[in-house]
Amino acid sequence: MEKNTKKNNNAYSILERHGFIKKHLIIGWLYPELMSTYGDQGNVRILRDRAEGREISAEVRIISLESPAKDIAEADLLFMGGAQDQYQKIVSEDLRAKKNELGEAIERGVPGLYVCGAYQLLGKHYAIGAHTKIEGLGIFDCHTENPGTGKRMIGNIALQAEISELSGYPIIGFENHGGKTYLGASARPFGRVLKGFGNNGEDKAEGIFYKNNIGTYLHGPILSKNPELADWLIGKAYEVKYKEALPLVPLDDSFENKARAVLFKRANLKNGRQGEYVPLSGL
Amino acid sequence: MKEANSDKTRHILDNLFLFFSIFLTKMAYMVSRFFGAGRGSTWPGEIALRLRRDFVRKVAEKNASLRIVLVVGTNGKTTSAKLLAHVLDKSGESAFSNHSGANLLNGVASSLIKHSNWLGRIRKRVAIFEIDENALSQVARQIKPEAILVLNLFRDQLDRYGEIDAITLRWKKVFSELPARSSLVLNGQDPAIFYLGQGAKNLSVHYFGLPEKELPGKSVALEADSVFCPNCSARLHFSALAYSHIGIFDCPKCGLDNSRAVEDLSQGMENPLRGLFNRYNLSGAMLLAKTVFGIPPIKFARFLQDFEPSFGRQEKIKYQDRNFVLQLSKNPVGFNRALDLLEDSEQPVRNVLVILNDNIPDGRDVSWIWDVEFERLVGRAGRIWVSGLRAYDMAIRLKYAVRETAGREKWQNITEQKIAVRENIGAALSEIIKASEPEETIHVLPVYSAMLLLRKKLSGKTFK
Repeated sequence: MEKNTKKNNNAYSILERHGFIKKHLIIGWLYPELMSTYGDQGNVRILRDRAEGREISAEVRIISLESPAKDIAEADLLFMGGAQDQYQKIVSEDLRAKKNELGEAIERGVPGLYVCGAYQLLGKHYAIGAHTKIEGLGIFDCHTENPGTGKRMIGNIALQAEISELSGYPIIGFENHGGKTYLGASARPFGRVLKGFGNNGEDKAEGIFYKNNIGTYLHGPILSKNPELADWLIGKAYEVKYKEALPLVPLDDSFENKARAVLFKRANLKNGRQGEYVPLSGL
Repeated sequence: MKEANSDKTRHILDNLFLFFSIFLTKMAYMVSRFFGAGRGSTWPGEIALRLRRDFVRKVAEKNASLRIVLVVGTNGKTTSAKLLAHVLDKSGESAFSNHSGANLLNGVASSLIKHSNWLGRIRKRVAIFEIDENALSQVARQIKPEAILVLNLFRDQLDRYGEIDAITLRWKKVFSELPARSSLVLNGQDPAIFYLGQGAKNLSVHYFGLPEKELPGKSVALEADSVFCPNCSARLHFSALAYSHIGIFDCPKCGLDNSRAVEDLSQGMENPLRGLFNRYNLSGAMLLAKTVFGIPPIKFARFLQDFEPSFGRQEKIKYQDRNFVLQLSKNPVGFNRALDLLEDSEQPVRNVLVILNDNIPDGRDVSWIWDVEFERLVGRAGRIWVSGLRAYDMAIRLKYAVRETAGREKWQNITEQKIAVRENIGAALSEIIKASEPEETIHVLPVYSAMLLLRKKLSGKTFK
């Protein structure tokens, strides 16, 4: 906190506050060359461009093996994608040294999006089979088990987000994971599964939602098909940094709307609008 | 004596069975050809395998003198197999190969049925089979190839295949079970594949690759797959790069180093195929032809003069006075190489058609389009027509590519001018024809299922 007050009083921040220069957001992109499967890098592009569409200057800052931990503390929005197992190990070792900064940022409400491998990494542990257990960062109240024998959970997925601002459309994406994630008793899921598997294919929960941070299995990349989610993250980042709401000027999302209409149709969700589809029992 | 007798009986039964299954599938094949029901590239083999799971092994045993070469890798299998089959045929070795894309065990079985007589005997001397990354283990359990050509390993349809690590592990096992002295011809500039070769014991390992002067790149792109040492996980240092993670590298931690490992026999010869990636295909095919079949580079070059690319790979089709050029584009690395060809084109590129489907052979997950450098396409093409089942996913990707090249102010306008979406492929074709001039070259970048459909629509009349 001390660091923050200090930062807000430098010349740059004063000019910024008085409107001489644009509002500025730093998007911290964690381990891009290690954690970037399935086109997840698209999420960062989308965050940057949609922020700039609102007259905010957005800077993408790569935070990787050689970066100091303070880079995490300076970021206004964080993103980390999925990875192969070998790379996930490299990252989990490096993140141990940056764990405090990451945990602090999340507790402060700095928003973040953690996809697939990154989501698993922020949980308590990841168990492979009966004998191997990889410790996670323990920031998210969840753990993942990979029996190694079951079928991977692969396919298009639709879910109803548990975040009230995101209730307009179901969130859609593509999931592909062997690990089954289970939330702790008090943890909130990111959403409820309408079509697909979700965290474990058993309890209809998908992802986790904790202090403006989302862990999820959705690729696609997720933000390419859910522009409202991208805007929500940008809005939260702005709010936490500038202590005021960001007026979200609408952008042209006609391609996005048509892309999801195709998937809503396939999934039998009429227009995808809430209330127009038949809710699944037990939700 | 009794044992010998039962052996003999089993042998006769085996032969009878083989005859029966070949007879049945050949009949079925002929009937289907007669009624025009497909080219029979997979299902005759599928029937034979259902009748007898070790059908491929039995045919291979019966034809013990048949020399078998397998070609694996994410990109370039079809082209490399075709290069090899063409050159071997010309050199008098009489070769055949499986149908492009029919590269699972049932495709191999179909190809064996097609080229054998009714008794299961194959006259030709060499079989070149392109094999799907994930099917190699299964195929190698039934036939022991004399040589395997390994081209590259990139991210491709991860929803089907799982991770690259998992594939290399399976390949490693296959290599360790090959008969001693079998040949491995490997791309020595793909880190994971180079490392596989370093660990292969008792095999005759050769590495192909290109000299540093031909490698244009220096920095590694973020989406490259294997930029960490396959031996010790440290970050690799690349002194030169062809594309993605293909290049000359060394590991600062454990010393893994490929800078002196590779040879390129294609130096100084004319490449009948465009593009840097085809230089690798050529280099690999030439090294295999020389080390396994004793065909020297100079002969290889001569035999290659009348070579034609495989369908869907820089294939030219004349349709309604337009020159369509098809370049199969099914994964990030393949797509980026297709964009290289477009950028190198001497004529202006006025209309481009990109088709994205998510049928099973294409992979259900379309996320990979975000790892393609579409910014280059937007800069080069006048108008981009987008079609297919997931056309709007592609349109979103292109919209962001426009943003990168045109800047925020003109984003919206230029998106509207540049990108036209017609989900139906037929509708896209007819509108492109309306929007283009006679004799104009129209580049088409389709995924696999779209390419098959498109070739049908364009009716397959080729032009030179």
